[in-house]
Amino acid sequence: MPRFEILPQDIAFSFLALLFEAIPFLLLGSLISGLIEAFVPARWITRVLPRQVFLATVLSAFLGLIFPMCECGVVPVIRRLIRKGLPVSSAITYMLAAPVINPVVLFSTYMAFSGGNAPEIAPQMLLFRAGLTLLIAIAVGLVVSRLRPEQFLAPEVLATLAGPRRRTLTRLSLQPAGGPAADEAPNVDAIAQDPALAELDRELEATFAGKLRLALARGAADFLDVALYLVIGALLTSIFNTGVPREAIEPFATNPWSSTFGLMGLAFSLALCSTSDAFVAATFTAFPFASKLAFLTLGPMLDVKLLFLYRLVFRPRFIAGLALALVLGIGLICVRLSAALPLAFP
Amino acid sequence: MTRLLARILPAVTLCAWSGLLLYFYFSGRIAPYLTPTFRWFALGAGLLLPVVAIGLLLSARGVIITPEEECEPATFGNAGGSSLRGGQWIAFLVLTVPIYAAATYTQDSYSAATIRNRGFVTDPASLPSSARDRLAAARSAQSAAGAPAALPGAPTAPTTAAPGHVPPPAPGALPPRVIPEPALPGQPDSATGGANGPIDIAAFLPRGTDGALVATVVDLISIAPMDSERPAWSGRKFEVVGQYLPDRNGSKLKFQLVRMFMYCCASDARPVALTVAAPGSMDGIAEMGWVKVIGEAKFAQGERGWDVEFQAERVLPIDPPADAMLY
Repeated sequence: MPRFEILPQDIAFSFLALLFEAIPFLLLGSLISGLIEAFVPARWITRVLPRQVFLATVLSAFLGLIFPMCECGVVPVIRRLIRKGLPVSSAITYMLAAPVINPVVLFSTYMAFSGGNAPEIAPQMLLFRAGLTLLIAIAVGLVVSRLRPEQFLAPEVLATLAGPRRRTLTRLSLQPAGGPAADEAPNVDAIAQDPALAELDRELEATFAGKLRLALARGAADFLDVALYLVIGALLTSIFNTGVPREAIEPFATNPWSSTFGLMGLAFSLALCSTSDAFVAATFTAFPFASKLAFLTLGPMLDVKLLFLYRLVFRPRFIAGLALALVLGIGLICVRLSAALPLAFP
Repeated sequence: MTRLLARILPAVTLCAWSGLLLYFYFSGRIAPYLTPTFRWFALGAGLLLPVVAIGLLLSARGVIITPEEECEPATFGNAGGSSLRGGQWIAFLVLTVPIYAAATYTQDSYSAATIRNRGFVTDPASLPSSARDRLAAARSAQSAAGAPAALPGAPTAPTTAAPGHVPPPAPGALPPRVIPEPALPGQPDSATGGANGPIDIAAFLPRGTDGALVATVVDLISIAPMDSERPAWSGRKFEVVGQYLPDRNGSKLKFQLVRMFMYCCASDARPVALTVAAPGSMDGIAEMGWVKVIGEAKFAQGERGWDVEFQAERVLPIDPPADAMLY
């Protein structure tokens, strides 16, 4: 019977390691967020995106290849992008996909599985991880595009969308699903012509030094906001990370349901960085391919610390719904994969 | 006064975090927490945070506040012109107290209980590729030169082998040897330095002060399943460094020599352990204390394949190495 021991010095060690690893990326994300605020005109964001919601969402899923972000750093960035007028569906898709769909993580996934007993599964794991992540991120983005901002955005974020921009977003979200205009994104034009945004752009036509100061200030504010949740999340993660014996999950490896949901539970509690999680997953030799895929897909989208970080952007009810959808969506797909491909991916 | 504090407190928080990062980096305490690459990132963050703090202080005057942000609720980082409120004090405490308390409590390593909780990586295929990479590099060099070659990344020791040089055997140690392996059709003969032949381990592993070859825990476990390499390592005397972990079942006859392998940070570190037959009483050795074990490696076929059986001749307490983690 595994023993659960919680030792303060080990929690402290794991907690500091998590923070030391995350702080640079969080800072980078926050500074990028500040730079977006100061230097990127709101009109630019709305102009570069395709007009159709579907195309814009799909494109957003691949943005990580150009703007790679880890799961911690991406939260302040999307919060700022939403304020700048990026459609929320695109922002959420980018948030869920970017921690995996970026060159560093794709390469580390391949490397982690190429050294084991069966190196031939490395390209398969790479393709399945990227494919499942894209599928889930795009699906969530498309579902969110049908919701009203009031239903899922945190009041703090919603408050910044007050005025014409908020009305625009609300009106667009209320379009009937499946209607003739449902697949289009007239919000692009609407937002681009938004007088409030035009005013914002004019105000940003200040001196370079002024913009830089604004970028630093907004970056610092975002960093502190997110850091607050990171500290709480990292503390909880450290307790799980050090106190729960790995052998406690080994009995779960016996069937596809328990192995898939067991490893997803582990991914949630360990809150590993997406650059390193594949190396940890590769050591779960007793678990089937599809369960490891579930571990690698869910982890960058949902874990203990992300649960707290998402509070900065979304309402608790939406976070709960998102968590449930991610767990069920990824879990059921992976269980199905386990059953469909038992011989190809033992 | 409270309005002034509302502006200063976030900047103080940023500087406090910066101070901690820089202290850990420059004192060397950061080594067991992060891999070398991530240490650079931490240094960068430590240097950048005060700049950001200055930016935050400067923003108190003259920064553009857009109409939308005027109605943005004040947070800890964005106090605006408001006075300091209770929530901001709580935020300040949450951001500073746990991290400084952790820095005080931490022992810069995991206890035996947590290492056992993490589960040992026993499958050689799941081990870090460092040992296999080193072997491949040595094999390549040996094949190219037609002679044994030194390996990059070999563990350091007072006496190290020069590239291409076979050091004389130390007293009591077996002479260097190459175990011939039958060449496959179309492949060069391993006995003549072929690319698929075993490595002359005495040529690439340095020797310790008493003549034993200096290997790592990962080396020995990685070698176990390699049919072509195992004979060259079997029966040789090695010096291996690790942390002493008493047997979980209380056996006095064996213990585990543990090294932690880290991918990014200590949070994802996994233990790699070599089971060692104890030379006698281990009463003087502290649990998780660093030791140098000198003994003989043998290999035996177990239920899951080939396992290492390391018979210790001596176990000596040592100071922790500069890099306690393997990468």
